[in-house]
Amino acid sequence: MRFWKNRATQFEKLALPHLPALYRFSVQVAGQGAAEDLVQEAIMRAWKYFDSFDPSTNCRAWLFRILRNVWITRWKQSSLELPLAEPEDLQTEPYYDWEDGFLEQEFSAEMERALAQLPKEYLWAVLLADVEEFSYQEIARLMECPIGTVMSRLNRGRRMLARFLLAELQNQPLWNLDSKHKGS
Amino acid sequence: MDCKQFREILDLYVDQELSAGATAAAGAHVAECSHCRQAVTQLQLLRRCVKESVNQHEVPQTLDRGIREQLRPSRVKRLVPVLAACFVLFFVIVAMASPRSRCHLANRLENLAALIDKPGPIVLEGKILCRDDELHARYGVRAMCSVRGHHGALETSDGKIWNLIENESSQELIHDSAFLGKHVRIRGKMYRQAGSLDVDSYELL
Repeated sequence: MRFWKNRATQFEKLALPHLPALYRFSVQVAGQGAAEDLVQEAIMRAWKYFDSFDPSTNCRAWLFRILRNVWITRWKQSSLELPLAEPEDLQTEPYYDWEDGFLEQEFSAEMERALAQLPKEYLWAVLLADVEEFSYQEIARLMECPIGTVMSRLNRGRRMLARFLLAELQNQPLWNLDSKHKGS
Repeated sequence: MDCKQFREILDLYVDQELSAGATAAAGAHVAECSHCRQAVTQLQLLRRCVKESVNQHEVPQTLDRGIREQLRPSRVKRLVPVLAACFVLFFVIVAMASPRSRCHLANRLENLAALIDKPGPIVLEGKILCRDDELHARYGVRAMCSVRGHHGALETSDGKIWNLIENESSQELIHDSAFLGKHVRIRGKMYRQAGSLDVDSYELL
């Protein structure tokens, strides 16, 4: 009984402080409706395998790796294929060069909508880097892909996000924006 | 470093993933190029906006509370399996206090063993001993060996005594006293419920 109590105390101390981060992340990758379930399952899986966690390593990275595994499992159950939008498989993106100064504005709702349009693997890379501030090495380990793929996903994901955001702000379809940028 | 080269490492520069030397070179270019400086600022702003947008969501209290409850179930909930085990153990002890219950359980177990282990060809090793003498030694049963002669049976290493069914192959094992105390390997069929072996052949070990 004491061992159980100590284990729970240790888990509460190491893992539960990351609950808000896991939840906010889940809202983005799974939607508000599914986020609670996703986090709950991830935390319970972490609790189940807590004995295998090495306390000298990064608990947050460990939890996000579990979250990703749970998310992938759920995605497989609900879809036929994983949303693996590898950069080489996607069409060439229109060039974007950060020439617009629109980012000084306030646009929480538009950003939410723009994030929702990102391919999931780009979204994971962007959120892990920009919100959770993991290093490229940590993201590569967490997403189980080469570090070059992380760089590529970040590069394309951010530019795609900026373009989606610009389209949202200008309240116009993306194809219109594309033609504008191609013309410039 | 020119603009083209810098744009290739823009994300790494903003994410502070470049080496010290490369960071210094990139920094020098940014200091002198307003376009690239604008790109750095915009990318940094995008990062900040993403973070602010994501971090506006509050964790529902129900989620936090639900998880903590699952980690530390109430004392009553934790005691349920223990109480159930105690309850079962109590009834087993009470039931085993009665000889009739013990006999009933033993028979049930025998039936279960018979059910699991259907009669079939087997090879069994053990020692030939006089069944009646052994029963006398173990349980004080009145043996008639002095009148009727010994009756050979097979004792296996688990202490079980197997009757040997009378047939041509088992005659010597049952009736020849020279076999008493000898170790043998018997091939035949086992009838577990009757505690009997039908001997096809045997060999001395």
